[in-house]
Amino acid sequence: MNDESPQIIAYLSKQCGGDIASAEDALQEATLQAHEHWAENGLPEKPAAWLCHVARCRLLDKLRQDSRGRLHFIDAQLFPSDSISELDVSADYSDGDDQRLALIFCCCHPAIDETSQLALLLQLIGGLTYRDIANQLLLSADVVQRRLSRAKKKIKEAKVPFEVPEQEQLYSRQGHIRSMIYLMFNHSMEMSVEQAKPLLRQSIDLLLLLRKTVDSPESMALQALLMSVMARRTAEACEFGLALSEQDRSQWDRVAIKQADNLLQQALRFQQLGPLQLQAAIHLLHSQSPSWEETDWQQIISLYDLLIKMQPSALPRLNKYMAQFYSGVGAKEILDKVSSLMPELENYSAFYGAKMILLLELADLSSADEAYQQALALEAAPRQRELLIQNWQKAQLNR
Amino acid sequence: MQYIALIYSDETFDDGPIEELLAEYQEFTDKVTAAGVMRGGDALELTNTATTVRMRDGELLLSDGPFAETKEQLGGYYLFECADLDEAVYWAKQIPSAKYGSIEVRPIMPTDG
Repeated sequence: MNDESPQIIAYLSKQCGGDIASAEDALQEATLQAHEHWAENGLPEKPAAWLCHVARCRLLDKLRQDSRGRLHFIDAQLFPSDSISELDVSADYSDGDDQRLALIFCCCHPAIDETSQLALLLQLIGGLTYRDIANQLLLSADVVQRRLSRAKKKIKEAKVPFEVPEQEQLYSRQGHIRSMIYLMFNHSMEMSVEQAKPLLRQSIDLLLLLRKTVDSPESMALQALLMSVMARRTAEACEFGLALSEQDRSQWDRVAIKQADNLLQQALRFQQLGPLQLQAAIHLLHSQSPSWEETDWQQIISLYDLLIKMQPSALPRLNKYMAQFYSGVGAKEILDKVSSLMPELENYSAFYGAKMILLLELADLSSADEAYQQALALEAAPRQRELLIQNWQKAQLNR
Repeated sequence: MQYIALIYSDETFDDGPIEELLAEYQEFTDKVTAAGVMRGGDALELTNTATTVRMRDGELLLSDGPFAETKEQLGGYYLFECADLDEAVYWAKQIPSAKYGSIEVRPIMPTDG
């Protein structure tokens, strides 16, 4: 997968009536041809344009051979010539950025189920393999493959539009788009810095586009949140999977944290409080604290209280209880509270991770070990696994 | 590209005078017709008029009532000509029954060569 694959796939899919699967096949064939051709003749001046042109020809061949005659999908104007000698095709997809965004909006169309939306984004925009997607979504590779092909079939057959929505539609879809951006971003944070690049770039591009078209305090807060997380990642990148309490805070990007804070303050001035503003505020309290010990836990706890009012689910509760533990409340009391979240967070690694920390504090080693094993079994994300393993090993050393 | 909008709602549901609903439907039908989107559509009689037909091993099996007993019943349909799914949804959401029932939008499978 090269950097411009999303643009090429977006371009080709749009040209053939939303047939993403055929566009991918064509690009793959073109890539194979490129390996041979370039080895003999050297790298062309514009490799991406070369790939795009060859893939387009492959696609046209395929559509012509298709006995069911789907040619009526193609606007003949778009394929004025299938001559491979015409290599000046860079203009064909010079609006590649827009097309890539159109592809993203097509993938996060509400007519597709949410897990498949995310799988599509991870595959087409993030360039992940079935196996990587399966790991990220805690599904089997087979299930991922089935879901992806079903979603692509629906896009083609129900004609899910390949367009950046108009302002009015974007307005009503913005909440959903924000959650997809947040999910893409979270997944990118679980990958290695190199692997995460395309997904990270795309999620930020998408957010900026959203803000440019219909800005809102929640979108501003999401950007502040992403900036704040990334500002801490500079130090983390050196030491993969280091817990927040262990990081060298002098390595954090203070300028970015300040900018994120300014943006959040700007959002808060609208006085339309939303969950993302609260989450960004919590992240920023961590980012601005000079050390783990000096963290303003009381304020974090009250922010979680507000968040729980807006989103009465178990996850913000778990986070609040752990903040209470770090603020000095006894481990036994917190363990009882955390355990009360049991049926809801049954399949959630973070729940067992929290239990492990509390049980270690209570020196109940066998139960802690059990919680550790459960947490590890449910966690697929490499960075989170590393954190768990390190936490556990450190606890063993302290014995 | 043609889409069918299947209108499901609780046929026992009493949502005010029927004349009002019919007037709303008339208004909607006029609107889609004027927009050049309308390709057809009908209302169906109640499900107590339905007969379900099955052929099994060459034998005809008839039964009284709809194919499936559900909370919402198929009450009618529209056939729209639209550029894409978003346009079909734009029209479907304006069908009067969308306010309390559900509209299932499905593309018509192309059968031409």
